[in-house]
Amino acid sequence: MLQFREINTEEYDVIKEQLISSLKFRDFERIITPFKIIVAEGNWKEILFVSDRMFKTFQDFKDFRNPYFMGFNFGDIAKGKFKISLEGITFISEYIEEKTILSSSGEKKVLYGRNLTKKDLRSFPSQIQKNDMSILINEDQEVLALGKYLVDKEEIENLEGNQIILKNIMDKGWYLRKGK
Amino acid sequence: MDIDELCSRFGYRRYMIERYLELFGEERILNFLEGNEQKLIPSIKVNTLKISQETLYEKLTNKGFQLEVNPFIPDAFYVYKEPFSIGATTEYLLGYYYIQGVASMIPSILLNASPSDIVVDMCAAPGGKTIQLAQSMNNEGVLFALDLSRDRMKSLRSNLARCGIKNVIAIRMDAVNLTQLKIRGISKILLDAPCSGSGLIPSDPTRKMSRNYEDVEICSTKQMELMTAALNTLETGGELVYSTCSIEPEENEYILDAALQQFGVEIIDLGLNIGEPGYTSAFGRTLAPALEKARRFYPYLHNTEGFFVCKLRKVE
Repeated sequence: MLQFREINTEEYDVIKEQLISSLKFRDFERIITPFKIIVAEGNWKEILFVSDRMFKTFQDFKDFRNPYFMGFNFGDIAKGKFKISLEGITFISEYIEEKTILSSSGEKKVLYGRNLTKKDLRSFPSQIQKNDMSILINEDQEVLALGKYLVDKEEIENLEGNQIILKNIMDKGWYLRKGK
Repeated sequence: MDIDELCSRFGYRRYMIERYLELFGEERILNFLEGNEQKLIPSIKVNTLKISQETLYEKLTNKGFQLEVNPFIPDAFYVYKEPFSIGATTEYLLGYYYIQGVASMIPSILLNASPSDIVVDMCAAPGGKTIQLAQSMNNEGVLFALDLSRDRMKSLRSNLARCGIKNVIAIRMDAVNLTQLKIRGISKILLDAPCSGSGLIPSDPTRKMSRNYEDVEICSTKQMELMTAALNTLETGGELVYSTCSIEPEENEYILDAALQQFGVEIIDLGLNIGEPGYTSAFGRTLAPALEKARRFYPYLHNTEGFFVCKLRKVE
């Protein structure tokens, strides 16, 4: 049974620090201004963003029935680590300037859940180090996925076109593969 | 008209043909049965929280889809040609639209929910109508989405996430227990009730043989329980839209007629230019005259799934 409650300071700091370290995203305080952050705690902790009005309504009925979910899921905390969700990366994408732009073949591959090669990338951020996360978008600037670079930027220049350089962490093809 | 011949020719159970003959008469039953043999044109509803109708049209037609604007429903397209599945495009995965039958788009429009409302979608999964309600509320306010099935709840969650819906509180429960939640100030309720699904025969012909009259009775009982819970919860002045994808009067007009007798409610004119009026009598039973304000949809007349919709206001 999930228990719904407001986020505590420790959880808040885990999210904030993880966003900085993995995505170099430092504006967490700014983007959450309109929301209350709720933790739905079960085997892991779901991080949910809800409006004040939703939260007040929840307070009215919480003694009678537990929600299945509410608001939108920004990510999960499991074993002390925060993992952003597909909705979460879409939400923060407009605040992140440097993203990886995929070619049309890269778009198809990533939505099938596959990893990407150099030739699937149209452009990439100016600074890349091995294990850096990057939001993957198509040529229409639409958010498709989150990937992790397997090499440094200097190495990319010297690689063959068909070598995997970007690991697919999550992608919106999930909605079709698993979410139906 | 030979009932056995119609059963044999169209593959229905006898009780269905007998009932449809009484409902439609000899002059219309053939049209009705032949209409159920026609494949419905797929349709999609644009998620205007994420994209405009014009931009989506351009994106999908550039990929080879042939779309036509639905003349009756805002932000909806018929899909006449699919180079690949309309449910497998990047635009679908980005939540720019959802796939929904045309008639199923009507109830959420009629409810006319706004950001100031507290809305309940009583049987919400898999979420097409919930997404429409959230759009109507501009993703604000509070929208309760209830459903009992664990699997369908997962679909609901996925669909809401895909479409960027943020104002939903989803609760897995039987909506007949809605009063237990003690939610105050519910101003709008959508009751798209579980039903025998006789309106879905064009897309699922197995329903001609897989249902019997007891299924209609079971659904009717459940529908009345849901209606009772809804009207016990709705605030005075609040509005309720009732719909099913069944064409059986026992699941539609009979439920509304009972609600009119048992609760202080009135039927509201829907202001629709399409649809047939609801029955004011059926199978020898005289029903409230106001039920002519309800609307029925049939494949042979409206090129939609068979559907029923009616709107109530609680007056005391």
